[in-house]
Amino acid sequence: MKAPDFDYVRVRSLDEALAALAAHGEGARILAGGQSLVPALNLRLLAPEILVDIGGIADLSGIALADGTIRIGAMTRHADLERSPEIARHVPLLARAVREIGHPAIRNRGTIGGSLAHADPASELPACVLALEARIVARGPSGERTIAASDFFRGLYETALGPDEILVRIEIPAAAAGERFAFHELARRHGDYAMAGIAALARDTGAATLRIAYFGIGSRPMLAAGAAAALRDHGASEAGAAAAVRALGADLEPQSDLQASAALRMHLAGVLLRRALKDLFPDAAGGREEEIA
Amino acid sequence: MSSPRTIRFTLNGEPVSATIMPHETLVDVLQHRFDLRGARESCGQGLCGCCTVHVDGKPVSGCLFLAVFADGARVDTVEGLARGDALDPVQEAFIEAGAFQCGFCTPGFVMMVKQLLKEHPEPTDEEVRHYLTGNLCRCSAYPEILDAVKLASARQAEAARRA
Amino acid sequence: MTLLDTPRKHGDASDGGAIGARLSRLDGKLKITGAATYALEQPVDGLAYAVLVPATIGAGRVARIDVAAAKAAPGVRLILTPDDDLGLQPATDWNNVRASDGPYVPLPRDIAYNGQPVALVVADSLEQATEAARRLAIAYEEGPVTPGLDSPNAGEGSPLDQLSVAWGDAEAALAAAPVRVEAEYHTPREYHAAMEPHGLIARWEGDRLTVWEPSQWTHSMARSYAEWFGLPPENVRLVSPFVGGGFGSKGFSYGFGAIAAAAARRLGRPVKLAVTRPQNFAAYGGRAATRQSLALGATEDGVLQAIVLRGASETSTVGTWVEQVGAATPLMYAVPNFSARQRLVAVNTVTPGALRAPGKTPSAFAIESAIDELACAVGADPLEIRLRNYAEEDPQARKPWSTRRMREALAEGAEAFGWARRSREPRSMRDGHQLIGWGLATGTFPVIRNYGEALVRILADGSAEVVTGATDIGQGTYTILAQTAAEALGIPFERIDVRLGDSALPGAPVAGGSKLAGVMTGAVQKAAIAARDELIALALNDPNSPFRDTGANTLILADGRISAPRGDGPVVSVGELLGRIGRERIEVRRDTLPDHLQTPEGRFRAWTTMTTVQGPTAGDYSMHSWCAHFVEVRVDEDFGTIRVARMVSAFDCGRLYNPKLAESQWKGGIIMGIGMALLEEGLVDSRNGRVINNNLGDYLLPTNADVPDIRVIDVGIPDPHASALGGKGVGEVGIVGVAPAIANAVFHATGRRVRRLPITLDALV
Repeated sequence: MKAPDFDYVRVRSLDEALAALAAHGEGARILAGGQSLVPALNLRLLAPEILVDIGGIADLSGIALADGTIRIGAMTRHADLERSPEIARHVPLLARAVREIGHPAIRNRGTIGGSLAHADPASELPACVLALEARIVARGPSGERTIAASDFFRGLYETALGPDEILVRIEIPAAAAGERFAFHELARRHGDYAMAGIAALARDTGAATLRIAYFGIGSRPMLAAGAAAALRDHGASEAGAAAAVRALGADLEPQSDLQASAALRMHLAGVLLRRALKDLFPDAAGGREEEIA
Repeated sequence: MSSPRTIRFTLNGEPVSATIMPHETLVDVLQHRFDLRGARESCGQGLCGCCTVHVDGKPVSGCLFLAVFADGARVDTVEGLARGDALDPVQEAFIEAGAFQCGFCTPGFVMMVKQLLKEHPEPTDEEVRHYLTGNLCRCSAYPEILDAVKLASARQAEAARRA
Repeated sequence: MTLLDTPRKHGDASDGGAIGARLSRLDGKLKITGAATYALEQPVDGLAYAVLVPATIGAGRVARIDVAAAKAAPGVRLILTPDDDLGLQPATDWNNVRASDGPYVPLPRDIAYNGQPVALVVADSLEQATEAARRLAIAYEEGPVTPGLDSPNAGEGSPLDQLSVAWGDAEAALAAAPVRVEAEYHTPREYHAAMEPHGLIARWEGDRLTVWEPSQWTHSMARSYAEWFGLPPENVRLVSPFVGGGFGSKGFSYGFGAIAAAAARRLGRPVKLAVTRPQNFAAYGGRAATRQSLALGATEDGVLQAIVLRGASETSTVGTWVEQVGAATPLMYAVPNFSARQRLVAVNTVTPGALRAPGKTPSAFAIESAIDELACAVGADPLEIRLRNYAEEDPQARKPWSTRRMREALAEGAEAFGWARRSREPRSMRDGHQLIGWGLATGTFPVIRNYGEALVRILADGSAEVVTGATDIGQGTYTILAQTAAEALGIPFERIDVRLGDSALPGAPVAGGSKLAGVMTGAVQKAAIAARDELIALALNDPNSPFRDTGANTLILADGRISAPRGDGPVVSVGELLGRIGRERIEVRRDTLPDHLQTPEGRFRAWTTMTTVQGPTAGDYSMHSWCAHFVEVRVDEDFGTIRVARMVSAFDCGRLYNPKLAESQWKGGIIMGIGMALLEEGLVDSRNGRVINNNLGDYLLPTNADVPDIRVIDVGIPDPHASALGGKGVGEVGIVGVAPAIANAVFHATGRRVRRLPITLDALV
């Protein structure tokens, strides 16, 4: 298989990258790790005029902790997140989730910024940043702006990024003491994109701060706000779990595809939620399998 | 549209250059400019691992790796593993364990296993299975591949102990 | 002592010679270093690159193709469309039958399936050809599409009377049986998905054509090209020294090969066509979808009284492929009344083809699921019901088995698996969320015999060479032929070289149907013994031989050295002897053809068609390989996800020439069976007949993480009727019975009987 002809520029600075975007408009594509873009090119699903490779911009990579916030450069590779002690300590949900992305060769090249900007509804990281209340920082001709993760994912492969903007970093509140997370995904075959997955985070030991995000269910990653509210109201009891699963009906918009029907996905979402609650609140009544099953 | 450009990189220890188009992938360039055929395109989507090579010491899918990225990098392929007639221990283990049939996917597996043993010198079965999910073998020599990884790991540990 | 009395071979040094030894692959180093050159990697100067353009409708016709824009694209050299007369003649098929009298048109105007080639674009580079192909403006007239076997408009198809099998009065016995189980079983389209995609390089020199193409049968594929182009057979050479997996798909030449070779001839330049991964799902056919309605009648003890099978399989509207759903049904169990019939339903697909254990695989899914259902119905253990209905002879042919160690397979498999600890009731074993199920199913594959030809050379340096046109698609032909020659010649394995995969070399059957090893070890042994005898005769008689005056009347050739039997004469290496007598080599070519085929026509037919094969019941015996699979699955009760946790499979494949390679074949077949059970299914767009999941991301092959611990056990003994050296078939039988064993285990785990493959989680939640 052969990609179509395209031009290529490796930029050294964000200004250069923005200038290239401005010059080529819709014909330009930002190239990060290339693990989603190049397959699409090989299959000739895309035919850009020019690829703007931002891999040479030094300050787009890296992980730093300051003022209780972890800042991750957009070009930070999955493999770097996987091996980072800062991520393991301060964003353990991310450390857990990143292991499930593709396979090692993909993780060696793929980047967090690329994954978020691509906004594949079945990929892990978009749901994680939703659960983590991350802020996504984009740079455009008029400077930087910060987008809440919950405002970032608009639809199938669609984000809040403008055509003249570049995702530059992700800011995540560092884990507080007592923070807990749960992460599960289901695929028919190991290592594949999930047919359903959940990333859930409680900033403390109770259910009050719980955020539940799903991937692989609908056309974009989704927060299950109703389910979280039900758990806030009822606690992580069996009554809370049952109410939360019921609330998923309004929270989620499951889709049917080759992998699974919408109805099956809704069922799986409920099971995933119960499994996640068991991880998060092992001592709560609702956390015991027999009682919530 | 685009224009050709020259890239320079280190290929299996030797400095080389090639004039390529931006849309060419590393696996194409290795196959057609350097007559290195061990890394092969099979799926074209980075899903099968047949095109796995190392860039700067890390495995990448050669069909998703634009050749322009290799400019200035160190590229290592299966052809560079053996030292003269002496095979790499992973290669030896693959032969002894019978870890391939048709052999088409094998170089990709070997390159991925090199990295696996670097990260997990004594991997569990589950670590091996998880690590190798991006390499497909339709002959399905998977059980023997697992044996080969364990054999190479044991030999590596033995060699380290003696050294 | 007959061969049957010989002790069981263990495949280790205790067996003696090279045959049966657990040796590593002869071609291992070439493959592990990247030095093995597969067909499309062949360096050929001056290549032009071709791209196949597939139809995007499921049925209808090409109204017109506007080639102007494509022709004007940079680097374009040639465009072939249905407007071009390629001047090709029809080729004969495997049955030596010529399809028609008219011309062969691999780029027809009429479209019978989505993905059918409608044009070929050739340019100086692959990029240019790919780009130009996009500029073709193709106008179609769409017709009504029948996308698949179960489509409402597919109809019942036509009966295949030649496949009807009946004895006794099955319908009456079924009606009278105290216990009946009746159900419908479905298997989907499945694909070979070899890691090496199809394609070819075609190069003409005058009226001589060389084709580098991955091949399971060089001689037969070369014949197709010769017939298409009206050439004498010797003018076509098909070269395929290494093959990146075939599984049945690489035994034929296909339309894309004819088109590319025609383009090369027209251009006067070699052409390379790499069939893209998505095109590999329509350029040739996979396993046909099947449907079986199967009824078993039995006594209350579960003793079979009747089997009634009514099956159907799909084919295309332009070709006939029969996936024989009754292939295993009449063989597995003793039954006094039997009836099987099959219909063939034409749909808009590429003509399906042979995929590992064709017929036997879907057939076993139904009968081996049904017998499990019967076991449940009568409250019998699944192993016990198989023994109660054990077939002591071939129930259909009424001939004794040559060897059938199914009892041993069941017993040794059960012992290793721990089957006796199984609790009878479904849903009775669990581990937390996981329901545990243990299932069993058996499988079979016939012994198919044919003829082969080999050349053996003993060289001046004391090494030897085996040469034949047979192919090694990964099963190990290189290795076992070297082992055979080593043992017959008395020259060490390490000093034997093997050349394969070229239609210019001596004749051989297809590397398919699990017959090549049995046939070619026989041919190589014959040639090697003749070469050894010639060498010994020279050693005894040549005036310059050191053995001339020893008075010995024979000599021993062992470990590369020649000596007298009493050990009292000289000991001379083979190379030294050849030097002393002034010979550069001994070269002997032998075949195993019977007298009636020792004509040019007979030889050609033997090497290029299936007309000389002898089926499993051609002689006094019924000959088959057998296996029994024991499976543990773990089903997540809430998610419905299924994991195969462990497997034990016991095989009777006769004598094993190399247990290491044979076990790898078995495991490979088993894993393909896991894919069949849980993952693999060609999904078709009902609007236009397109295979939607035509890539390795969406057509799911098993990965390392899907594969459990698999233990294989050899219970075979040499079968003197099956082949010269006592082996039966190894490569195909491994997949047969795996899917029903898993389905039976899923039933045991969950209480849900799934009769439609693959088993997906929506069937379980």
